[in-house]
Amino acid sequence: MLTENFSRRTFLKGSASLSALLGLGVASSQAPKGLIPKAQAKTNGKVEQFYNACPRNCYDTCSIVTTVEDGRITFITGNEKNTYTKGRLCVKGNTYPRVVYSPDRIKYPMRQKGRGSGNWERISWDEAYTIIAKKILDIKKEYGSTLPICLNKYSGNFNILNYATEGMLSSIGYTTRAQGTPCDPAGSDAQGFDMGAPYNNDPEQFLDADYIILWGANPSWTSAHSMYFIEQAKERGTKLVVIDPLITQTASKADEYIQVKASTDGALALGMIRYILDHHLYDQNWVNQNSIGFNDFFSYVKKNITVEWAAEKTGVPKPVIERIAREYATAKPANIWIGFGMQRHVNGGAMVRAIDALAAITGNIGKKGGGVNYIGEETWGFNYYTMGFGAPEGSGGEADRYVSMNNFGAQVLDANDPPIKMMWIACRNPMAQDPEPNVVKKAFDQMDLIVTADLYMNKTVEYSDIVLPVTTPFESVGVNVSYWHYWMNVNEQAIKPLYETKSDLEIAMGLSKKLNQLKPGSCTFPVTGDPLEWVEKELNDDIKALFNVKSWDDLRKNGGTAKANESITVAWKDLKFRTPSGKYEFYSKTAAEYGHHPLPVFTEEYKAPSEYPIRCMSPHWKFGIHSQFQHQDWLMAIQAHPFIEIHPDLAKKKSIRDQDIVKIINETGYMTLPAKITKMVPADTVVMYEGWWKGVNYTENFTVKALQEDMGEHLKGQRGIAFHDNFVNIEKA
Amino acid sequence: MAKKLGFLVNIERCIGCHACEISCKSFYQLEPNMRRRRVQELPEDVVGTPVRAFVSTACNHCDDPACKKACPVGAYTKREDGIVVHNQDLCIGCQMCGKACPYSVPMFNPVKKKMDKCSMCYDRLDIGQLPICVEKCPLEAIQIVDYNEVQPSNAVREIPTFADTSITHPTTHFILPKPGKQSRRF
Amino acid sequence: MNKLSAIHMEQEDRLLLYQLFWHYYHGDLIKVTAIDWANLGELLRTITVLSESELGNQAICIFDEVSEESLQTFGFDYNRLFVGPNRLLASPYESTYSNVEGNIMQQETIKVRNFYHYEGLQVAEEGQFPDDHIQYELEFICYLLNQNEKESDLNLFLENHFFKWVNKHCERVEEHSQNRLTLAFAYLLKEFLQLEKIIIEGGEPNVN
Repeated sequence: MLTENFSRRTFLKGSASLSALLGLGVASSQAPKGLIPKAQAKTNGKVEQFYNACPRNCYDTCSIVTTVEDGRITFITGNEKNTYTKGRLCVKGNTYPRVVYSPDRIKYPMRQKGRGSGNWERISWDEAYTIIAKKILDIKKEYGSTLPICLNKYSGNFNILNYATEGMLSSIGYTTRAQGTPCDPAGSDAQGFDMGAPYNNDPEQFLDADYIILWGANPSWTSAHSMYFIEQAKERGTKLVVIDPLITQTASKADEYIQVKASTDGALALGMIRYILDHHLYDQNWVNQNSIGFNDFFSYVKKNITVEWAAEKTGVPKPVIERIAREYATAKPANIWIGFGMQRHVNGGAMVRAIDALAAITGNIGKKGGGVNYIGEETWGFNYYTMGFGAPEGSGGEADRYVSMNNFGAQVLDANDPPIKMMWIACRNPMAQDPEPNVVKKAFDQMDLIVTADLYMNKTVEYSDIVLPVTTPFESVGVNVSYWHYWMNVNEQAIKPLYETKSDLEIAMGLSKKLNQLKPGSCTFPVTGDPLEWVEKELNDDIKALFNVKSWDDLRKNGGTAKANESITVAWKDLKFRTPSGKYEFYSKTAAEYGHHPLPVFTEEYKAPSEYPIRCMSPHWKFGIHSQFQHQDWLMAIQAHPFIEIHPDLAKKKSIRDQDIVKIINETGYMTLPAKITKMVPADTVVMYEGWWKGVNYTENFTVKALQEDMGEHLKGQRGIAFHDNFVNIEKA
Repeated sequence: MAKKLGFLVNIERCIGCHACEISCKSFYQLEPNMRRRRVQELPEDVVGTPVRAFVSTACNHCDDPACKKACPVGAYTKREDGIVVHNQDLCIGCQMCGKACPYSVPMFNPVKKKMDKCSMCYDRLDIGQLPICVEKCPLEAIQIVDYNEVQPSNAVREIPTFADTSITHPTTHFILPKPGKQSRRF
Repeated sequence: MNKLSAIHMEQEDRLLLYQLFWHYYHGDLIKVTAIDWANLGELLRTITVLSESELGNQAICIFDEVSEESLQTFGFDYNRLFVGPNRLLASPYESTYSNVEGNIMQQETIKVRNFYHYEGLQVAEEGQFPDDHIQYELEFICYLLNQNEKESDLNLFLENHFFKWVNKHCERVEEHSQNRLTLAFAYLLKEFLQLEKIIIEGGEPNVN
């Protein structure tokens, strides 16, 4: 019978005979259609260029020009029309062709049989939506609300349209949200108490500065384009001072590097303030006209602070403190950039308040080229249209419930009434990037369903039930702004989404459609829509006026990048602060309301426990942004494995040589990795850079506890994590 | 007078970011392990006080290129403007050039089974464009200089880790980093 | 194996095998039962040139007796090798073998696309799915094999594309396979490829 079939076989019939033999039904696979007759109007050799925006959680948020030939990307580089990035990308941005075309991308929706088993089966989008939608409806039925569903989304993609994920969750009812940010909360609260909001000067104004202090910031690795302006300023005679516990790449470029004992930067600022007050180097006029509480602060400093004390506390010699104080107070304008790393301590907010005060008493706030620059959000006034549809009729509960993103595992486990049973994770990799990953894993174990949308397999996807493949910036539409520079960048769709990838916005529409099919009215999120129309809806009149653009499409046609007008690029130029008093508040009642001292006072640093005497810092790494980029093989070819930096004196004490394998341990966890002996770190501190490495089964967070910073609740809802108050011991493994 | 083009690498500006290397790799679509430009860490004490210092080097387009001498099939030519060009079509992959170069510049591409090295993007230079690494360095730390026209007074030809320049007379010059003041705790 | 130069395989058998591999890489065979695998083994045994070869015989023996456990883990292993979501252990895309960067959607992919265009075909979702996924190449080969007048085009495609990378692909499967069925297919495809090379090129098998 088989032979018979063979002799009569044509292509399709033959296929049918095999189908019969192997019992294959019709439409037995989800594979794409296959080959079809060629469409008539096919032209090859077509070269086009598109504007894209790097959407990663980065100061520089670059405008990109993407060259596409025959529908595929051949080169990705910076957009020369942007005067901040000047047509150049950082090392990470230069790897984007590999990010898009690596064969390792997640291609299809898949379901894991047994969380963490590695046994994945391919499912269709419809199946994925059905499984998820049914679970949502079941939960709502069982618990009377959607509060057992928890969203954990943050900074993997800051395209404004990606807020569709938050919008989708809001559109099914009230849910539980991972709230806060591990990034900037203590410092932002500090600036909120002092000035009403964090607000930074345009970084292109480093060229206008007479004196620059980079305080715990390492732009050489985290904001290469800012470093260009800083180097230019330096060559024109601006003095560059770097204050940091570590000799960072940026510290290596400083005219003067000041090594401060970690977490004592507030004492250094207060010591400088004492010197400035004693020598009448402060701007009496400025404080009289623009501040409240100066006299209280003055008294506090006179009574409690001396330069000798500051020298003792910080490890910075008294003459150096005095000289730097004098130089800073007499340079006009003087610019301070406070890095996020500096405030990742239990006293981080208080330290930022002290540094703010230093800038305020010298009248450097509100000046072009000056400022106490930390972060800003002046250009983020989009409509966030995707988030505005509201809970459907008959949603149980009254409001969203929050758990802290910064103590996520523990708070998810603690949540009762109702418990959390389902998790949606997007633009995040909590299993690698959260402190105490073991606790996060316990929280995962409690879930009925974990859905993760991502580009690549990572620690979080490994522990998920369903993974949804998402698009790169080059395959979807969007618009991006920065929390540092003053540009808006359009993101065009340069190529078709590869495989079955979808943007977060498309996923939101698809899930809403399925929910409404299964139970009409169960989700208010629109079920269809053109992303080009969605993105236009983000731009309101204020944004258009601020950037002098008519529309997203107008900007797309005219260079792809636009700078905000000068009215906002000098922070606090009008000296109208957003505090209750409208003035700069040395004395902040708001701070007191949140349980802090109303003044920028010194607060003690976290003390090392005796059995774990070595501080382990985990600053950002040059080949990655959190868990993105470093795992790409272009970058693995340069640095293939994490390492721990150890001072020669400490290494000698522990009999550790360069490249020896070192065990790093504390009560939270341990790991082993190679040592790099270097004088770039002090002898009481080791450094392991933050990130996620392909094929490495641990991250720096294995020893990090969910220890809180002092501030964050005011503006960010939750306190941050004192990542750098991590104490360990080390030994040769 | 003919030109004598060479790289001028400003180590004072270089932040060791590797964007030069990766933009070159991206533009020329080189495989992950091929590096026409290489960013290397210099000893920590290169300026006296301990710092993180890097130097970015590519082909040094030597006045007296050892690769050219060593090549048995004449795959190397030195252009009028000084650029040393490797013709991959002629290359037989014998790797003699890589062994002869004091800077180990030519790399063996195991996929193509040919040698590979920086061309100073001469085809871009010929149409008035800059080499990719020059154009894409975020710090503008790499320049092309005609050393027959200009002799930058602050530039040197030798740096630690760089082989003796009297062998092949490389055209690459460097601007050394200036030591900053440091106040360290230990 | 020293009589290989005298190999002859019926056109229909070749077509059957290419179709079998097409079904396999199209993802159709994940749920096939043990009885049907045994039927397939029986069918393949009739192609003597294959069943008498060492690897072919090994593959057929695996099909004859597929354990319950093999059936259960087959789909998972198949996904680990060819689909995801993790790093693919044996990429099914030609350009990841031929492109120096190991990327997909490269110049090498476009060459395959141009071949399809030349024959008046294209991938249905061109630009979305890389044209050089093995299932498209297999479908294309079946299409050409069905038309006698396309023999020279077929041979050109096999020599310039399919033969150039599929052996390496099979070796990666052999290296990483954790399942008898994925291993059997690697054996079968590798052996078939050898036979095809002999048929097309004549002379001794090209072992690369």
